[in-house]
Amino acid sequence: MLRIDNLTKTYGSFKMNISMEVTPGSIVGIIGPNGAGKSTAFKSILQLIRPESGSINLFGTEIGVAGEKMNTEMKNRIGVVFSDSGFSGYLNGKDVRNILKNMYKDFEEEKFDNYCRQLNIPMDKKLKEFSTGMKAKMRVIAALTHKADFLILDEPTAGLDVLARDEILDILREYMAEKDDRCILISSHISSDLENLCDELYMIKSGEIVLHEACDVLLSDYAILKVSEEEYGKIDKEHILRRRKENYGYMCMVRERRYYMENYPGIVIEKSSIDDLIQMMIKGENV
Amino acid sequence: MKGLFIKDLALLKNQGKIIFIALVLSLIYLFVDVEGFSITFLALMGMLIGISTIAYDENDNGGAYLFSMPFTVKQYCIEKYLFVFGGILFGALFGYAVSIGSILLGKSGVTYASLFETFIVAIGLFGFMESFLLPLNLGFGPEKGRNIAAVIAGLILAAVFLFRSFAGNIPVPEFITKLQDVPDFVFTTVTIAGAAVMLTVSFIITNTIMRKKEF
Repeated sequence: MLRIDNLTKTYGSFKMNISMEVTPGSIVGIIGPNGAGKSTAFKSILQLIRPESGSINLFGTEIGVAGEKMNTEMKNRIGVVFSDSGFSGYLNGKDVRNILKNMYKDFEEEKFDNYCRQLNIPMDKKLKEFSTGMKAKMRVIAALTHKADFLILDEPTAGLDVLARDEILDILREYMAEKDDRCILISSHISSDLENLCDELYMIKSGEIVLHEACDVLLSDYAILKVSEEEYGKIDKEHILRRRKENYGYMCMVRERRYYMENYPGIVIEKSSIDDLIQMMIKGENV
Repeated sequence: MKGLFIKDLALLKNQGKIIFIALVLSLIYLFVDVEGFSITFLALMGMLIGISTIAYDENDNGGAYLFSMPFTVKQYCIEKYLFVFGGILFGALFGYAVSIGSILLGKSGVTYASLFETFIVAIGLFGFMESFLLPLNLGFGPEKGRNIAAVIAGLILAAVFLFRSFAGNIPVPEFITKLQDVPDFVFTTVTIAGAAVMLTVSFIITNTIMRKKEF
């Protein structure tokens, strides 16, 4: 569905250089701190900014630096959510429905109305009077109701409470269940959202992909070791991806949890959450 | 492109009060003998209200989302030119109807032919203005675009003022004095044709600017 190779974009001292792939039927998450390059990557894919080099293959068509302009047919197949960009706040729900109806060739009016009812979106109120959560829900509804094959979602759950986030994530799962070859590229600051939803995760830091792994593997094989300096000196460092100096010694991120469990039964080995891994990838140092 | 028109028409609802006041003000001129004032006034309002939709598009970084939707940059530019020109046309037509009403009520001594000429010249004149204002607003954004337009207008006024100050010493070229002899229909035709050419050139410039724009 989407393949990106060595895509670069420079803003002053910031340089993004990423490669990634989203295959049909998969949900791929991008996670990373603010300013890491997530939105830059999304905007490059959508040709809203012009990268300097690299290739983007979307739906089998090259649309990168040397490729074609994305045509309206391709845009019809994409649903987009930006956390900081949407319809004018001076429009109301009915206006949005009417615009989408005349903008997308396969707009699903009934589905739009159903989602709005389900998520308690008022149709007569102006968007600028919506709460942050309502705005976020409206953006997701707009992206989901024109039979898109590919969703590009930049922080779709930003500003939502736990219940609303769950509602949105359930809707995204429903979207995926409707058709086998659909896929989603999603970024979020809330790692638990991605942990429960994604098949694969890309971790991005300062414009570079620092980790790419299947979510299952991340949760089953990765671990955090908490070791004293003496223990650190003795353990096998081959599988240590990052380490961080702590008061008690070192915190280490490893890929082979079982190996360390079997060979070093005396050391503290914690199953890592995505948050732990992000912390280690961002703040830790290479061994 | 239909979706873009629907969006801009929906945004016009926010200008409802301004549109209403402009229409009411123009109706006052049913009873006042000022040659075709409501035509130029409403055409100007139509143009400004049409251009204001650009600010709505770009407000709160809205351009990124808007341009992810299924239309091309060229279609966006075409829609904006047509929408703003439509505003000019609608305003001029409404003003034309008001002016005719004024004649019918016996409040205006203006001839129908003269009124029609005012109508055509207003469309041409505001077409010229559209061809300047749209590239400025789309290229630099509504805020900067407005400021640049104000500076240009100021420079033109200053130039006119200076010219008038020294006009007594400068001989007026013969072709300018001869312009008064040009028949009205030639003048109006040239105005409309000039506006059409300017709008075409302006569209090409705007389209080029927009293709290079990042959101």
